Amino acid sequence: MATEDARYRQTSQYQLWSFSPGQLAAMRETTNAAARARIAERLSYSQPPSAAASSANTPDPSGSTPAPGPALPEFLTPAEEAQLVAFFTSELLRAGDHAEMSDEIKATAAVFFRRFYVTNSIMTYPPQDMLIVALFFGCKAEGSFVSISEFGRTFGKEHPEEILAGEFLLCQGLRFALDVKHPFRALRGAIMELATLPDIDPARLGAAETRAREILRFSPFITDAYFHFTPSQIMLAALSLADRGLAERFITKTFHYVAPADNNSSGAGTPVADSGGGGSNTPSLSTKKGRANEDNKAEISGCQVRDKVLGAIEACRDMLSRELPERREHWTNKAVIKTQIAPLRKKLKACRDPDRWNLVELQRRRREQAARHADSEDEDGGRPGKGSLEADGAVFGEPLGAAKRRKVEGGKDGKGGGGLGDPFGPPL
Amino acid sequence: MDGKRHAASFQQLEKLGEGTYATVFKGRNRQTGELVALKEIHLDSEEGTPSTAIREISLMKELKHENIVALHDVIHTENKLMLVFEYMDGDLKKYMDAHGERGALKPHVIKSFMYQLLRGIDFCHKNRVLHRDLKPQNLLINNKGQLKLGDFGLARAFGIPVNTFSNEVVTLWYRAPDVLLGSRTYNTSIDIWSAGCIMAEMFTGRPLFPGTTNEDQILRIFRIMGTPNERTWPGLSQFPEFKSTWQSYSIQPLGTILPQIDPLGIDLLGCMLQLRPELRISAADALKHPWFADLIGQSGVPVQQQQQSMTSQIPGQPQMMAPPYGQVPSQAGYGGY
Repeated sequence: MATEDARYRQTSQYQLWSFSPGQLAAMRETTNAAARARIAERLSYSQPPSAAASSANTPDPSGSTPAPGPALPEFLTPAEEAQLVAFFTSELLRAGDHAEMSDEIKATAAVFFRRFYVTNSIMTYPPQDMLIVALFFGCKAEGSFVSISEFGRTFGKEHPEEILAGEFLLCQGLRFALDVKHPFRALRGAIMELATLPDIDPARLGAAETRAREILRFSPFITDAYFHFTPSQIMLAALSLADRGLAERFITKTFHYVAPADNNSSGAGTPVADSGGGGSNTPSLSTKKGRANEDNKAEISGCQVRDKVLGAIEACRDMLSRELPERREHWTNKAVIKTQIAPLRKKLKACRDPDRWNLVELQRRRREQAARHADSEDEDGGRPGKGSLEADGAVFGEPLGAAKRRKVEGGKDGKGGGGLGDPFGPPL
Repeated sequence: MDGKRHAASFQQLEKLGEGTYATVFKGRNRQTGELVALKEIHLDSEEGTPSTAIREISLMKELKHENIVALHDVIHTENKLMLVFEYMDGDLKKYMDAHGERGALKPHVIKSFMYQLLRGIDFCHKNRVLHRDLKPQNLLINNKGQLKLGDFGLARAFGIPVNTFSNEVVTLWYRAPDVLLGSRTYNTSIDIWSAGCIMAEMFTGRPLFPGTTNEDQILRIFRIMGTPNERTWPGLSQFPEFKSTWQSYSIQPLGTILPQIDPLGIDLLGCMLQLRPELRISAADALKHPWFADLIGQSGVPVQQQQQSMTSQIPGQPQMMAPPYGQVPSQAGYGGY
């Protein structure tokens, strides 16, 4: 039977949601660029009446080159998006505290939220709505039933649809990977292991666990830790920040007993370094090498794996140390918000996607679209006409794809107004 | 996945049955021609996506194993959610009705099915998932003789501690005695009890403990396994459903109750049907039981040559007439997804 390590490599967390820093940065760049392009194009179609009138004499026949008029706002950069995602994640955690949710629910919701904004821009979908959606969906994913009306009351949402409208969107953005592996249980296990050592002061152990848990409840969510490191690495990094000596004892203990490479749960180190997000076949070179079966090699490869694991833990430690729990205060500090967050939110307000900002409205339009789609399907006897497939794709596809299609359609009808093919209808 | 595929990618064929919270249709991938099972979940509920669906998707995305029915895709449209599963020809209940001698299957078939069942359970347990609802209707069979666990609507991930589960889960007949007694700290052993009940049922064609109520179910179990007491089961009187008025039954040897089963098989069954959960064998250990020694390879599908010798060992067992895994009638409805 597979080891813990091999099993971790089968999880959706590893297969779909683990990236190297370079990959993650590239994805965010792509997401940001796609959103800019889409929103720029959309805004150029819906110039204020005065602007439209002034350009009426010279209609752009292709309709595909957005006029770089003064109406185009300044867009958020990927770095600014990242900062806002961090800010709203801290807001999400505070909201979770407010509703007295369990650590697991808050953690799952925070990971959902961050994952969603890897492939969706914060300019496209409203973060202050999506964080509530993530919390609601986090409750469900963690098997904790909460009624929507009760949940809505907690967060001042009178209408359930304000929350439900985003559920579908979130689910899709998560690629239906709803099982998130957290480091909390690993911490408990490590502490229990350490407690069996005769020379460790229980008070010290208790303090370390408290501090490590406090770190695990905050730092990994404000940083990219979950995208780069395994739960056990995150746990060991937090333990190391709480009490470096204890973490080292634990690592020594683990690798001392279990020479044959990766046959242990705690070290389960699979630095995801550059493993290619899509479940490549070379997920962890080091552990694969380390699985050499010959006994005489076991100790050596154990050392290699240990070094690799130590490297990952150090890197994770560095990352977490930038957002220690004391930084909760930073993210709620009035001066910080005024000087750093408020300007970004103002910028966001100007450059957000007008078609997707209102989730309830967006869902209504999509339902109509789906109904029309169903009707047309009935007409052609249920055959999946190419056109209907494309329309469906435009409704559910990624922003980039949708923008491309709209461009084509805009060119076709020559009016440059989004045309009939625009799933969101002609400009208002 | 990810909305790139949609409902129109699949041609919907006949209805296969009702799952615990959804309707299941047979379907065909228009592009590849591949058969699939489409589990349709309606989202008209006030609460959005049902928790059962979320739980099932969440677990099935993680559980990739040859003895667990594969979730190929999730298609989410505005008003329904569609889970696309690999197609299986029928479920164990239907298979027994269609192929059994009054429901009873051939020993070599049972051995193969039990091995596959235990492999699926072992995989779940190693991934910290309890199925909680194992029964013949939830075990899917295809015409290659493969058995796969389906319907994870009631399954849930477990961790430590495991004391907050509701006790209203497993279908009565396959429900473990500790659950019937009101335990809320049950664990992987509940799936093993169900597997034991299913093994006996495959041999006889009839459920081993077909209780009608919780109390009746408990007494039916005691009638065969013997009524436990504080001496044979320390802590017994602490269970919410404990009664000091239970009639005292003595233990019936399983070999007498189930003369169809060979002694090794009885031994394994006895390890699974332990009243006390902590004494029940684990799935991993059950797979190593000598009863499986004559299965070839890891797949659990026995080799033809061995089947003859297996059947002939059992006195009074008619010789096998038909190939072991015939085509299950395609009309066979089942709700095992």
